[in-house]
Amino acid sequence: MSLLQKTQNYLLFLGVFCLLMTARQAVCAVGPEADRPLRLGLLPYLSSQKLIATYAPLANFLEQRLGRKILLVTAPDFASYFRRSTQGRYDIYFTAPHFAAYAEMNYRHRRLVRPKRNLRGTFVVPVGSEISQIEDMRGKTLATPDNLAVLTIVAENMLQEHGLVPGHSVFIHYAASHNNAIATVLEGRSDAAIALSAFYDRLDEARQARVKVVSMTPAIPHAMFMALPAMQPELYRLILAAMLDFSKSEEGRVFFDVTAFINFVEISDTDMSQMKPFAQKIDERVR
Amino acid sequence: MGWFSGKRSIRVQLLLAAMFIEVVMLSVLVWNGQRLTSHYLLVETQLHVSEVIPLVNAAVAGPVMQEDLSTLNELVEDILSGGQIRYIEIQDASGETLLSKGQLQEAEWMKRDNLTQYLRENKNSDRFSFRESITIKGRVVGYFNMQLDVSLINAALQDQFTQSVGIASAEVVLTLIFLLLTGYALTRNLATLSSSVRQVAAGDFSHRVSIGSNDEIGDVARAINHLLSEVEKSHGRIVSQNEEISRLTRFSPVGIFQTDARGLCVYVNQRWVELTGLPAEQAMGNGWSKAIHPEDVQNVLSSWEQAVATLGVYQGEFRFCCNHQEKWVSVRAEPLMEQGRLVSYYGSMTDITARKRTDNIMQVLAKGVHQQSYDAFLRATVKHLAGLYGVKYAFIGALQEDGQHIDIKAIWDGEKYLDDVTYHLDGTPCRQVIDNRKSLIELSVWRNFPEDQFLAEQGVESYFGTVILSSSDKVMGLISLMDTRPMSRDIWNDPALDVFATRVAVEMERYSTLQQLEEHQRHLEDLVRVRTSRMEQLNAELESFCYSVSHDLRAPLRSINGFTRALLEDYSAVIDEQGVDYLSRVYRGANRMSDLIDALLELSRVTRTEPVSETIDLSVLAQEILDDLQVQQPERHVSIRVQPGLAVVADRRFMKIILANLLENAWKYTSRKDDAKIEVGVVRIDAEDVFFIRDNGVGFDMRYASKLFEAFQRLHLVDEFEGTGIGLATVHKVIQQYGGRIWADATPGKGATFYFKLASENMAPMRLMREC
Repeated sequence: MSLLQKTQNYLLFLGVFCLLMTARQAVCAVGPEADRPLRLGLLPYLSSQKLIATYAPLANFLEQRLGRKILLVTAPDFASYFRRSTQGRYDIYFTAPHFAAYAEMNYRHRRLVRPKRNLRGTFVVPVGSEISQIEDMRGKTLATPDNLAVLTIVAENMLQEHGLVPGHSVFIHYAASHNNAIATVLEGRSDAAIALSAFYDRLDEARQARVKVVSMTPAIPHAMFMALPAMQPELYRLILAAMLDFSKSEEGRVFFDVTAFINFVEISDTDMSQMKPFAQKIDERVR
Repeated sequence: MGWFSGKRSIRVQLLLAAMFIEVVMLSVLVWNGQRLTSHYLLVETQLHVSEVIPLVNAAVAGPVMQEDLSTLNELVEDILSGGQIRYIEIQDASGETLLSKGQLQEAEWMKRDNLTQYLRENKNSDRFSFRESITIKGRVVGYFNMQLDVSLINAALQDQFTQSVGIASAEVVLTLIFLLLTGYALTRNLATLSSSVRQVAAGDFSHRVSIGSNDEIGDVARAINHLLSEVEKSHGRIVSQNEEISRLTRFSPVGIFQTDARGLCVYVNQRWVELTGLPAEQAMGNGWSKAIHPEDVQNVLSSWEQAVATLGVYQGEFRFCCNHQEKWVSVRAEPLMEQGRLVSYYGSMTDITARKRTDNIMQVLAKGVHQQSYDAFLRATVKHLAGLYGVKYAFIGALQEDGQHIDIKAIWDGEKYLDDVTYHLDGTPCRQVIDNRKSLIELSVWRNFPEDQFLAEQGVESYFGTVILSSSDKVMGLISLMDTRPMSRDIWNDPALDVFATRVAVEMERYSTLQQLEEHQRHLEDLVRVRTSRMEQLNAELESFCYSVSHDLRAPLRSINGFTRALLEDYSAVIDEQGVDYLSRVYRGANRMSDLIDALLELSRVTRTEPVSETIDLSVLAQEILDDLQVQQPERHVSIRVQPGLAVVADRRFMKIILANLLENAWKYTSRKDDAKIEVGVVRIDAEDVFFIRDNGVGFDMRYASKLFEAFQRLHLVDEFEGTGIGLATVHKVIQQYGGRIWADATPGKGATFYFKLASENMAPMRLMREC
């Protein structure tokens, strides 16, 4: 037998072995895996209580459609959440769009759906502030939700576009959440804040009267639901179909009414392409 | 309970009772304290846990959902630092342990709500292990398992128990000492009091309690002394009253007795002893029953025992055998009850011997009335008299018209009736009775009347007699009693003998009257017999005369009839029309006279002929007679109906006389009817078979019905209907001969019905036929 033949035989054996192992893994996955609750990670952009209150209808709906228990979990902060999500600790997870892009690029996580509504950031300052445009922020403090928040990155990009250097010409205060960011402005601890427009819109009239909008960011895709790459295709399809049908259910109507997400739509390549620049900045921020 | 049975002193009993109550109450107190403390500690712990767990939940829910282990670690350490929770384990929603801290003890994990129940059931457990869900907005995000330290509860309960028992024991000891001292002080005087009371109870009413203290017992002692003074006076009065009562009962005319609660005799008075003849000491207990008449004893004892058993009143009449004599007594005894318990029976006893004797006399008299004959009545009377008065001889004598002799009507010598004799009154005690109306000789009669041989022969010692007076107060005789023993003087006042005498007088008068009536009746019967015989003789002579006359008249009548017919047949041509008419009248008159003679002869034969009885079918006989009538007058169309089977036992000749006369009448009196009807049959009237012959002829007026059956009485003129007036009289005579009856019912123009029946023995075949 020639070396070529031996090599061919070896490769054939290896291929068959790998095939068998894969099949075994697949078979094993169907058994105990099928009974295991699915962990649904939620981006900690709200408090745990609010996250539960908001996403419980979705969890209930998925439990009904999939016939499996859904565990809602989150993390103490964006960084932890990002790390855990990339570590594969969530079977499904709702994450910031740039985190989603990052996971797809680096970990082959699979897209599911995203809210139809796009995101916009709103720059707000106290009424009577001398800041009337972004350039006026030089030497000022800008409160942002989190270091890793897509809006923070977008805001820093906008500052740079207007000749300002975040951390140098503009002091960046990470307020941990959008509400906190606006609150620092209302309390006088920051000169300006950037937060999702939705949070500004939900302020009561008295608070809205105490701040003014000086600028808005361009529209960016909303946060996205992703799935682990190892998820069974059938389960993946089921989850995708269920989420697309979610708006038709009673729970979905409640959910979308509360979140103002309008609906769930499939994530497009455009959405991912738009987020890649931001995703590439994550590594340096995580470090 | 044996401790309080009265065998111990009051002091000891009080002490034991107080200690018993003290121990019981303290035990209850300790037990209740333990129960309440345990309850409140458990409730408090449950509440505490219920308050704490939500806080823990709120604290850990967020970090659990965030899987923030560092925060959780800090929180858990804070929780454990409190010391109350010994172990905590936190799991995520899938049950995967996120964190565990503390000392785990092997345990069964329960629900938090089971804390109280668990601790009640596991009093020695120092940990409570429970599992709790961690939720946010109702959604389970994880679990924690906790082990709660509950040793403090048990320790607290143990401490409380130890201290409570210690305090209770001390209290028992102190109470015991106090009660011992107090009891001695209190019961010392009570003992003195008790001793005094015993002395008084023994009958010493002069004793006084010697306690001079001023406390309550001193007051009681003084009150008892005062009471004793009163009791002493009352006792004296009671003794005095008892003596009076005893004297009263002793001389009471009524027997008095008393029993105990068991019905045993405890007292009898003197009269009771006299009535029963039983000494008082022998009457005690059930001894009184020995004196009861043997025939009554069972009944009396049974009734008495029943009365005692039912606490009822005893009432009865029975006999005592007192000195070989029967004494009838009426007894009534009533129970004396105190507080619902029978104490004794008090009873009285009355002598009713005299009344009983009177009752017996009345019964004897009543029985005497039922005797059918006079002699039987007198005999029964003397026998009962001897029995009632317990004497050997009793007799009834009737005073003869001369007033000097007595006819003995009945005499009883104790075993049999002696022959009736007649004796002269002189030299007999009966003379004194007749002269004085009543006489009693208590002793030695035979010596006083040596001429009376009967007295001497029979050794008659005593005699008592009373006269029998008629309704007009005339002496009719005497009733005498004699005995070979002395006779009691009580008999003199005994009204019973007078009652007997009166009753005998009535019977003697009734008998005398009856005899007179019987004499009159015999006389009347003799008269009737003589006169009947005479009448029968005269009747026979009359009938014989009638027969002779009738028979003898027929010869000249035949001559008149024959020669008249010869003149009419042979010489009618030489005699003018008027002469022919006269001759025709003579001829018809002679024929009619012949018929009359025939009828009279027939009537005469009815009484003269000796009947020969046989069973006769009247239906056949009637039909034969009617057939003959139809032959004689074939031109007549009469509807005839004869009921078949009419039968009697009688003489055929007489029956033919009845039917022929009645049917000929019916035939005759329907002669003017175009639709003549004659019916012969039988009907039931007053449960008897009655024959009838009915026609629809001229009938008659019922006002003259009473004359129908008299001889020579006719209700129609001869010109209208021929007849002799003898026929129905003959029928009547025949039916009378058979003990029967005939009557008629008619309406003028509508017809008549004649009913007749014979004596029942003659109608027997008819009855038999009907029953068949």
